[in-house]
Amino acid sequence: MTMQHPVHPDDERLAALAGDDSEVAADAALRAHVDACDRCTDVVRDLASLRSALSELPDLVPSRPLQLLPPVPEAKAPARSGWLRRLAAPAMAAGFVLVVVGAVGSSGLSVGQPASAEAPGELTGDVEREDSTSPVPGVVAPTTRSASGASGGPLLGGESSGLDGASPRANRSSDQETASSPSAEAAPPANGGESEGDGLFAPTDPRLPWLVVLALGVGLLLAGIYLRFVQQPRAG
Amino acid sequence: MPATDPSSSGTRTAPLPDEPAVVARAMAGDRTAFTQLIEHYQSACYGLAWRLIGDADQAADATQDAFVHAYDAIGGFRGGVFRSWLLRITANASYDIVRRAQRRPTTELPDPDEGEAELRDEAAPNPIVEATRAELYRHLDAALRLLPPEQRSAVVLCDVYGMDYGEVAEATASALGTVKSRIHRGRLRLRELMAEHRELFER
Repeated sequence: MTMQHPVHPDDERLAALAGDDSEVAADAALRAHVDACDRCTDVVRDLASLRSALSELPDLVPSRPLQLLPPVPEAKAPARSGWLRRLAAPAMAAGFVLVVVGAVGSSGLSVGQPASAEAPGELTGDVEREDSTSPVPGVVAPTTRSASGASGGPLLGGESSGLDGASPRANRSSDQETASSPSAEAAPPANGGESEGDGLFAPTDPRLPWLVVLALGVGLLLAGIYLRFVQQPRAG
Repeated sequence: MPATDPSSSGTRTAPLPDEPAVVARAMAGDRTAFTQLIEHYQSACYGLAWRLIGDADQAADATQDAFVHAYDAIGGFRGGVFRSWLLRITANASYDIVRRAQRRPTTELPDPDEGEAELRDEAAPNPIVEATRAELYRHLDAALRLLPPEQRSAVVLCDVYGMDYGEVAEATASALGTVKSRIHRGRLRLRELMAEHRELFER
């Protein structure tokens, strides 16, 4: 039977009740009112039916074919390139600069070196002497130690006489010892120690720092090229 | 002129039988698995986009955008119901489309009486019941499109696609109380709009 209620609950609360809102559903007074009020019962029933129908609304076929899988290169490459790949350009630029600096520096020194270094002919002669006197350079006799300073000649094709750690100055000092101090032959351990110390710590070829710069530049350049053109973006 | 309305798929898309395994493979970078998921749910995504936007072409754009976003984000899927996750992405993509459209000259929503969705006649067990249901769905979609946009979004996400209040609030970037109010008002407004079709509910 229809019952008249002067004051109905707010319709939004009825809508919440129809939607199984737990907070409103716990309101016993509201539920009691709805149970006793035909008007509110109708509202809640209509809204429940409406919700049920809404929940069954079918899916829709797209109006046009959709691309299901995004193209990988455009969509994924920027996100996957990583910080390492971004270093390629700076590495190549720095490598190029170092190569230029190293090449200019070493070539400049090469032009000026013959004026301050020993004549290549002397070194060649020393090497020949070493080959004829001792198979163990730099260890047995002072005369061969002088030749050992140029032992880089045969190894490096004769164009870099000091890259094995013995500079022309070291060669000169060894030669001076050989010439001015025959007693050096009588005390090979002392002279040998001094001479080896000179070979390790003496100033090296002036071109060496520039060649190091050059090598560093080439390395950076190659690393940059690898990162930029060879390394592929991480998959997955 | 509004674009022709899309066809109904006739049903709601159910989860794939082996969905957790397919999702796991997609998360591991298996493009085939991802394609399988997207192909399975594309009608659900498109339906949501169309109901939120009201324009077939823009809904297709939004759905396409959602697929791209989903592909980018699948690695971070935290589990749960994949369909809900994908629908949230679709809802966000739809809102992006709407916002972009609002910056341009406005496009009128299609007239509910024009180009109404056609239902496929798919093996209906009872043609009369199916025809009645199809008509109900058609009127419901038309009534949804008459709601204010905020109410429509909230009702579609909650009552059509089953999101709870919190999910709707997150998807629409709105306060929880605001969302509740929009949903409740939207339901009441829909009831008014569907009053003349009440007999369709009694099937």
